[in-house]
Amino acid sequence: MTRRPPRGPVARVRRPLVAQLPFLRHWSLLQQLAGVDRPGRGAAVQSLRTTRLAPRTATAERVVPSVCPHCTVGCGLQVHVARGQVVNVEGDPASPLSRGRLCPAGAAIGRHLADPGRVTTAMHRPAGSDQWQPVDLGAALDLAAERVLATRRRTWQWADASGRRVRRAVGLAWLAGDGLDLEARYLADKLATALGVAPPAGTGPLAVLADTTGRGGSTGSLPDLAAADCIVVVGADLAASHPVAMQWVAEARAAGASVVHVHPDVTATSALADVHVPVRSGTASVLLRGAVAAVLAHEQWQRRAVVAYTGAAAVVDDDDGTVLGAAGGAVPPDPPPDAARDETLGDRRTVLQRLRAAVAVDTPAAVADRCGTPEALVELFWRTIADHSSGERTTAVVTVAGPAGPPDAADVVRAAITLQLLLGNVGRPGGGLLVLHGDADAPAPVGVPRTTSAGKQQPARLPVPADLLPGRGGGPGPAGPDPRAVSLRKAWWGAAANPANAFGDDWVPRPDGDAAARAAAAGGGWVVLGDGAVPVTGGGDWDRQVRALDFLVVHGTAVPPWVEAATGASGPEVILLPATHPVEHRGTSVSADRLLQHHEAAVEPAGDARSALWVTHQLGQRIRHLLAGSADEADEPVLALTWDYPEVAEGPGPTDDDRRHRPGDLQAVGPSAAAVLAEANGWDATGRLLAGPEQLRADGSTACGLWAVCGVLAGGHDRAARRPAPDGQGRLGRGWGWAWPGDRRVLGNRASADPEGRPWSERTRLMSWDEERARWVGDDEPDIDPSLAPAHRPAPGVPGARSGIDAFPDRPDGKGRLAVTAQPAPTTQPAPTAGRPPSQVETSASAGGVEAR
Amino acid sequence: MPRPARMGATGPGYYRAVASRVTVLERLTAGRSYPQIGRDLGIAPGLAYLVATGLPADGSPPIGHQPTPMGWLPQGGTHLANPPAAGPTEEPGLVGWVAARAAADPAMAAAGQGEEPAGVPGVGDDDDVVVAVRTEHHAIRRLVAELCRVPARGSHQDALRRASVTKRLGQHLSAHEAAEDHRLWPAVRDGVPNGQALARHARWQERQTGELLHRLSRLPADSSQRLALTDELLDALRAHLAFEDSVLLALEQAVAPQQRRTIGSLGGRRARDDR
Repeated sequence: MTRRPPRGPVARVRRPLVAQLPFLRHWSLLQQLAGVDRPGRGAAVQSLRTTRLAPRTATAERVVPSVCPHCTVGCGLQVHVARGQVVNVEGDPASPLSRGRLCPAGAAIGRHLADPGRVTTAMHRPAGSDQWQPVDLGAALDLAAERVLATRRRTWQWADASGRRVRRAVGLAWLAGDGLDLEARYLADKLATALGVAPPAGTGPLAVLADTTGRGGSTGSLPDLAAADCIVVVGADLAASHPVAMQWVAEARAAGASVVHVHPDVTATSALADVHVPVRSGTASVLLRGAVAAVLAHEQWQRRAVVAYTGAAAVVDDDDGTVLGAAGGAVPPDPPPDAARDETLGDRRTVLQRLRAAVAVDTPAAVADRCGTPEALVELFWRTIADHSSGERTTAVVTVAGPAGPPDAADVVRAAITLQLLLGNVGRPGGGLLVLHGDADAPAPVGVPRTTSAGKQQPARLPVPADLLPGRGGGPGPAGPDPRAVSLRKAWWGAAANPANAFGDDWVPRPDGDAAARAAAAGGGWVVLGDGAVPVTGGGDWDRQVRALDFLVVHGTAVPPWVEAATGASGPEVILLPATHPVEHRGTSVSADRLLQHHEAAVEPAGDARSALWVTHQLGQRIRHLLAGSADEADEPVLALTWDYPEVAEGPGPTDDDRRHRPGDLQAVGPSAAAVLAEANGWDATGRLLAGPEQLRADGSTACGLWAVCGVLAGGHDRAARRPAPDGQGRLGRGWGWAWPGDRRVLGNRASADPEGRPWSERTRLMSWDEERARWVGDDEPDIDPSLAPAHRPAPGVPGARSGIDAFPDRPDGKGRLAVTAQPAPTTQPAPTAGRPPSQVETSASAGGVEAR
Repeated sequence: MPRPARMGATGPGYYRAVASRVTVLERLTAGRSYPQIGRDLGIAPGLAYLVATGLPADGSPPIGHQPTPMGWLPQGGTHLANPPAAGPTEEPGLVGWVAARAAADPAMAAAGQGEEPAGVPGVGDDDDVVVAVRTEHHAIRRLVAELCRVPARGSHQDALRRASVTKRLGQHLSAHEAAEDHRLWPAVRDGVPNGQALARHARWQERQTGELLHRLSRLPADSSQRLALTDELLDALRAHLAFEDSVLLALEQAVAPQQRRTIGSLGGRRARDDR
């Protein structure tokens, strides 16, 4: 370009040359000179290639709203479909959880669907063989039904060793991965319970949450993390395992929050943290216990909040402070709801003083010794948290259940929630405890199709009916029959559950410990459902248990490695049922922050692949057919089940385009997920869908399969399918989907105001009592009867009545439970280390790979 | 096993094509008008025009090359052009199926008929005036809850039921207020700072609810005005109960339990017997 540009109208002078050499037309200099775009920042400098580019979405025939199934963050997806194929998957920018972001695993969903290693036909592997034989789907289901029934008969138990009536099939276990939709989980629970598969006695992190806060779910929501002044990430490399959740930690930090990372290794999360506390693997809970001890010893706890919203003031009459509580061996024991209270907290027998005694051994020196962490860091750890917990400030704790989280997740959760309750952080913006599950598999190279969707591990466990059945709803308690338990049995057994048989009370098997291990010990069988979400790792006890089984029904998108490994003479018989990917069926996914999001079917299921809902329904139909006419008392509940769901296409159903591009009968017809969700939501005698669990009655006039989601379909409108634009959502993303229970984004949010109903500070305002309107008002759905004044105290002797300061209404006493795990196992490891010892590979119920029941 | 009725499958129309330039232009070429295309794609015709031409349909000039024009969404605006997502409850036949399930169990309706014994007054006979009033409040709250449960736009039966519950509530309230005048307010005037003013305020609230109840009692059960009036009554009642809750708490803190007992029972039954 040494020559001076020619004067005059360039286009006219150069026209003949331009005509001969078309590339000159796109020469940016000429275009600039021609005046098309003189600064050279737009059309003039666009290359020919760029002008020809079009977004992949431009040719899409439809865009289908969906939810990423990989971990339980619940990122919104937009699936673009053309000619019956997924052409593009991208994050939904309107999702308040992910804001359009996706991790590599989520972005690779399209590739996962077309994975050449995917199983799309039913397969059978005889016992002791290593050869798979393809079988007809119907034949595979018939075989599975026969095996289930044979094992059930063989291992049936009417009473246990102590003579207690249990009516259960000890040889059967139903396992579910956590990518399972709410509907499939619900239906599997219904079938399994009727068959006599005992519900597990929960000990996992979510069972601990249910014990301490009354609900088995995270107390906060992901977007709420951004409001925190301090975020403590315990035992997980969040940046790698849940990158999309990490954005909220990063956002809080950008706004000035301190980030503390507790993990054996320096990781990507530590790189972003202000303080990294290295601990031995499995001792994160010890560090948190130490923080509880220090906060109590230095009187840093929030007295008013603790007296009002926790059980601290209750007096435990039993003088033996070491008595273990009911769930998970926690001290101090849980006092009865009507226990005497000493609000001065001076009595040695109060829960607070007993807690003080229980953690007295956790001195900084002892904690430093056990965690392998310098004492100064232990001190810095609890001081950072305490300094960021006051009327003005809040701290949030984030941890992960499952392989990506700490091995002692349940103990971590118990200690963390106690610490948070003591510091007055629960129920407030930027406070509480968030328990994520699974692992987004971020380290997997982008573009490598996953043969197993390895991420989904731990179920975002709803307080499944199992929580209601043992003891609490089994019979009339002090408050009479539990309306939730009676309504559940009305939903399951319809007219067959009536006052004459105590609404089918006896049809419920009594709870069991680790159902999976027991079934293996009995040489029974497992039914593993999970849309491919089966444990990836296996090993140790798990492999031994698999080899002890008689049969195994696996529903997955591929043969799981632990099934592949269990070959040879001791290998069980395996029936493999091909699973759909969640973008191939419709349903409701549940995220770690309790959010229900409806997802649509984008494409037809591949081959014979069917959803877990479909498989469960078919299995139930076949089992009921085999049992038809049976007079056996044990078969009564199975035959009495309500199992007549309307049928719809599994996939999106044929559109005109499908008929054009993929002729033939495309429809796999299965039970309507909407109908199953309606049964879980519940209805009254007139067939009106219920608006909330407060409408449930114990007299048999309501049916509701799952009290926690009661109200999601209130008025016949599916709130889980709500997807408003971001400007209509607010800070907590309200209006998007529906959070159980009662669309509350922050549980215990009554505690965001002081006992008189005023916000602790303007900065941390969430809910407050409006004197004028005599109502709780704020940015969230109040987690208390909205018209219950702060000064309200219930009349004595009214069971279940709540006061205006009961911030945890589903706890027996309405107060958060303060406790720590009784005796954490001492560690023998020499130094902080990554990795987990083989002994800690969990196979038990809700502790690790799968939820067992 | 009888095969359940097949629900209407989700067919064409359930999904709509993406409103992209390609889809709009295709339809234009096929001879469809903008209003028709808007209906096809589930968007406004003006938006279809904008998508196809890049020109706003209101005639205003196109936005030039400003990097961030006013109203620009940093996260992109494709969701604005996406067709609305269909909710699962829009599945045809679902509502009918739920109704059929409920109807298949007549015991449910029968169980609902056996009303709970709410609204039986005279439970507030505890020695402690605070406990006695709280017990009465519990009974009133149950009646309020029962009133709230009656569907707003229900049948004639519902209207009759609402009227009957309202009537019971009115009876209960007048008995309760008489009893409070007898025992609670004297105690508050004596024992709680500013008790006189508190009692006056409560009296004023009671007059309000009394007035509303009186107006309701003169309306026929089916009257269209009843719903709004009932809502007003419930609001007034909630405010009143909340206020009395705070008074009771103040009384509880100001006067020792022993002393409260010497004030004696609320005498609700006595007050009613006197009438």
